[in-house]
Amino acid sequence: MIQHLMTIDDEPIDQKLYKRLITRSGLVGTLHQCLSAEDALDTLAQPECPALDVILLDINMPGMNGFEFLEAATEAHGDAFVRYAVVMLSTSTRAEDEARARSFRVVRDFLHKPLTLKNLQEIDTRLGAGG
Amino acid sequence: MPRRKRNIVISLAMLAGIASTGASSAWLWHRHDETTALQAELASTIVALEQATGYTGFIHNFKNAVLRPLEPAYLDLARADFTAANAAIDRLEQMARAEGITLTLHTYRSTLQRYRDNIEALTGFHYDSTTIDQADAMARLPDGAARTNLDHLTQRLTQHLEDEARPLRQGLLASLSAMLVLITLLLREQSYNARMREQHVVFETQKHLLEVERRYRRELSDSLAHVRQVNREQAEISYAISHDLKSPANTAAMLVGALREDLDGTLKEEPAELLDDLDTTLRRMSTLVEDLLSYTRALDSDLPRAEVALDTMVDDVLAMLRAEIHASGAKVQRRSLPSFSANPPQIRNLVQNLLQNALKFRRPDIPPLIEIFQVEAEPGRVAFAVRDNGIGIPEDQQEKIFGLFGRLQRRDEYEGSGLGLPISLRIAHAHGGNIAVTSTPGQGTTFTVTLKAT
Repeated sequence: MIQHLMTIDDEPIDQKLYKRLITRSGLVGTLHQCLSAEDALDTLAQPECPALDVILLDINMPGMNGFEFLEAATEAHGDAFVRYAVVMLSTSTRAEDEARARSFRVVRDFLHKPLTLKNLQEIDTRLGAGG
Repeated sequence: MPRRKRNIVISLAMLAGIASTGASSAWLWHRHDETTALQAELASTIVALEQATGYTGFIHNFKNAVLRPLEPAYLDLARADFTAANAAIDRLEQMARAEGITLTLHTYRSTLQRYRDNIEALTGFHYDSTTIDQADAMARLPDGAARTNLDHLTQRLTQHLEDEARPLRQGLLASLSAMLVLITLLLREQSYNARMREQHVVFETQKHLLEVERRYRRELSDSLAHVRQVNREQAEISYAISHDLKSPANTAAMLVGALREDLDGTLKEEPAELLDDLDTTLRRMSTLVEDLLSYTRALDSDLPRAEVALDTMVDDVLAMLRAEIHASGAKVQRRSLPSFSANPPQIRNLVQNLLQNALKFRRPDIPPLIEIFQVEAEPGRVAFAVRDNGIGIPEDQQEKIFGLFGRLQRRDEYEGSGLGLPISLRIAHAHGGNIAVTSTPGQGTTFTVTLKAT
């Protein structure tokens, strides 16, 4: 069971589908959805923000992109802002993007879009096994 | 023969010439010196002879001996003068012989001898003052022939020595001149060679640089041709891909339409929303494919051109955007716009992108004010600008907006493929131009398009 999961993606339709999948899976306690990295940073900065277990992060976003978010969040909160960050890569993503994502310690996993139930189950399993 | 070797040979030959002219000059100098010494000796011998025989010498003493018989010392002096005169005559004859002159001083010598005889005759002979006439007769011997004899020999000898000295002098002068000329030539040759060597080095360096430059140019031109080829191929592939994507995207949109028609009224809320989202996504895909096609095509600078009246074109675009203009309450201000030769569909695409952006990125609190007007450009160029009072672009993002998919805004806030400005920039480039942007966030943006006026 994942207590708190945040999705950061600028595509409203994609967000809608994440919500549908996550709700149906029954694996997630509370879902936090952010349509931009700036929104996500704001949420993290709130004192009432709960401890996040998983963040599903899109890379290619207008304004602050996924990498910039990781840098800003790490700078503001250290590596503790989330237990398990997952970077979502679109199929066209280049190898150097993956290498760059790996350079952040909070990034534990990669997945290629679209998000599937199997992806969620794997994340849940690994989180249960202690990450 | 190689240049270098030839130069050495020439220089050596000149050195040899200088050495030989130097040697001959020295020899001529020496010979001339000898002759000059002989001339000097001749002169001094003649002077000695004249002193011995003249009124300070022999004659003087002889006369005194005659006039003062009580002072026999004069006789002795006269005798000594006689001996000195004879020695001088001997020397002159010897010099003449050495020069191959057969003439002798016989006449002179015999006249002198007669004086000598008279002296001896005077010895032990007593005169008194009454016998002066007699004494005078003894002392005044006719000596015209003797003088002629001496002059003759002296002249011959002088002439002879001069004849000998003149060619030597001339030879010496010629030899020294030749040496000087050779030295000058050698110096000139050496400095010329040094200059030539310098120039040769410069020339070789230049040749080498030219060679390097030529090689680089060839490599550059090869690379350029390769890049062009790759570019063309890539453009063809992109075109093919986007073109082929267009038809399944359209088909899928039609399928969604048909599905929706059949299921109309039977669907619950969530499936109906999913169907709407599918429709939206497919339409976005169609737009994206369309824009990708435009972007690929905009690379081509050989598209057919026609006269474009920008005024008329803006009319058309504004008519097309009428609904959006009306909805946003936008005001469009325009001043007279230029006409120029260009590819009409591309310019239309560019103008449409800029006007659409001006409408799209408006501030929510005030109605858009859009201006389009001609801008002064340097000769051979034409320029116009689109200015809005919209949200503006931060300076550090102004480069990003021309990059592929360089969206600055979220799609749920501002719709679009993120290709409008990259396409517009490509179109400007294809027309030998560019697009510049100036903007103040929160106040507005001005895009200035400059095109080559052909």
